[in-house]
Amino acid sequence: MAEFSFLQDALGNQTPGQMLTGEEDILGTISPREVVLFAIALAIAYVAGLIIAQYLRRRFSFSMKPDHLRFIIRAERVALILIVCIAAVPNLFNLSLSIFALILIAALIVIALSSQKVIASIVAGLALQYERPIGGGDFVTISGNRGTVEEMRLLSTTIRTTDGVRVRIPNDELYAAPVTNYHANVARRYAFEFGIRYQDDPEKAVTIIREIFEAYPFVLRYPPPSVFVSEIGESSIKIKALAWFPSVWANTTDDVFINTSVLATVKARLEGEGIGFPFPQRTVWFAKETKDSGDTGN
Amino acid sequence: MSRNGTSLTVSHSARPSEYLRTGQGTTVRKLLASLEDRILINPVEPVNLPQRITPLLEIGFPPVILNPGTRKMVYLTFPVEIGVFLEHRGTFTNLDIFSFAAPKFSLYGTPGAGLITRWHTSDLFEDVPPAEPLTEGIMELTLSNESSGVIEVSRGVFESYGMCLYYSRENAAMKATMSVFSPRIAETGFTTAPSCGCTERAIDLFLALKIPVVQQKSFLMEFGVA
Repeated sequence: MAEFSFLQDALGNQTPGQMLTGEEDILGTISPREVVLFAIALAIAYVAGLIIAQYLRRRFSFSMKPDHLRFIIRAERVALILIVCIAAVPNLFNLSLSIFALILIAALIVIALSSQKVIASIVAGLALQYERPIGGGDFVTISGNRGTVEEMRLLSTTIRTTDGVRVRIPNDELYAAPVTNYHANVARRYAFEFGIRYQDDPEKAVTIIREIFEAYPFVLRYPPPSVFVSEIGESSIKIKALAWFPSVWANTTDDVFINTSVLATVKARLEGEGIGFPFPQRTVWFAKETKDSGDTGN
Repeated sequence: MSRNGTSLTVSHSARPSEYLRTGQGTTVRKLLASLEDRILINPVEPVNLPQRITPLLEIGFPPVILNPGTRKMVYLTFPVEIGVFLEHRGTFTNLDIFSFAAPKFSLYGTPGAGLITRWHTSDLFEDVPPAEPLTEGIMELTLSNESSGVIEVSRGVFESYGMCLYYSRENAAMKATMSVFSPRIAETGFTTAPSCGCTERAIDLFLALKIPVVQQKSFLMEFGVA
């Protein structure tokens, strides 16, 4: 009788119809009123998210890059919805917080085990948002892919290559790969090399090339372009020109434009002044000739 | 009208009307849908050509030595860009921008932390100088040394969003101020007032282009004044 009285005490005053019958009582009873309140709370969280998003846009649109601002706005809106869900769901299903936490942890473990790569990408995406090595509109090279960053999302980053091809890079790969950002600094330096014939005047060529670069609008006044003889080469005298360009202009036009507009002008002007560009050449001495003439060419 | 080898034509003989600019090796042709709209030509902020990549104008001039607590008014030149606007019921739309001044860009500061600027080299004048019409404008610049030491000033960086351009038939002018706090820090700004005989206020280009900007009253130069 003691066991039955223990059971009686445990069941309380429940009638057989009220005894444990399945998940209905484990989850508790859900009334329409609670569902409506939950829906209203979700709607309020959604509207609050929109209002906060509007404020963030007005406050930070001039000081933050557009894709970073978009990410923060999305995170804020998702966070508000999650807060409402975490606060409302235990009450909605009449669950204790500890049971709800257990269910949540179990679900997260299942998700984590089955989608490790996705989790890695999410974590890498958060780290990239914090570190910000690149941003929307930057001209970058990532794992051999060269192009403009279109968007940085939580899981992946898309870049548009110079050929107009869209490449999607998972954030875990992006975080681990060396990234070259050509847009990180406001100015970029380009190096050009020209080879002129030995019989031409290198000082005159340097002067002409310097004039061309100084007259070109997008070659920066400061730092000024450097033009100098860099090498007495095998076939020619090499003249090097180092010039700084605005990154924002250089990257949008692609390196092709700089090369075609500057190099063509230099060639035309030098040839107009009688300075030529030699083909690769060798001077060949025959042994018999050198023996007869005594000139070894040294 | 035709000046310096460039001609502007607005023809109403054919429908629709046409705006045509020829010169400097280029031709710009735009069709105008309405005959009732007014065409306005006035100088605009000189940071648009050949491409708008910076809102800043940097002017380099011969060094000026300022004693502590002193003010000096000097006159500089600046490049003029000419804007052609279409006015429709009080709203201005930019049709075209051209210039007779050769553009040049520069870097103010370091490649890592600096700013790209539109560059102009100017002489220094004590009185209103004879500027080349339609190519150069006149800036009345008031320099003040707010520091406790002697400072040499040889350049100023000005933000185009606050420029108050005035013009007359052939000249453009603006009044600017430069307060120097140290050899590295200075603040530049503009005064809304006619200057140098130019009395017509020019249309602000960023308003006409509907560029949303936060108008600052001044620009802070942080990379030196010489």
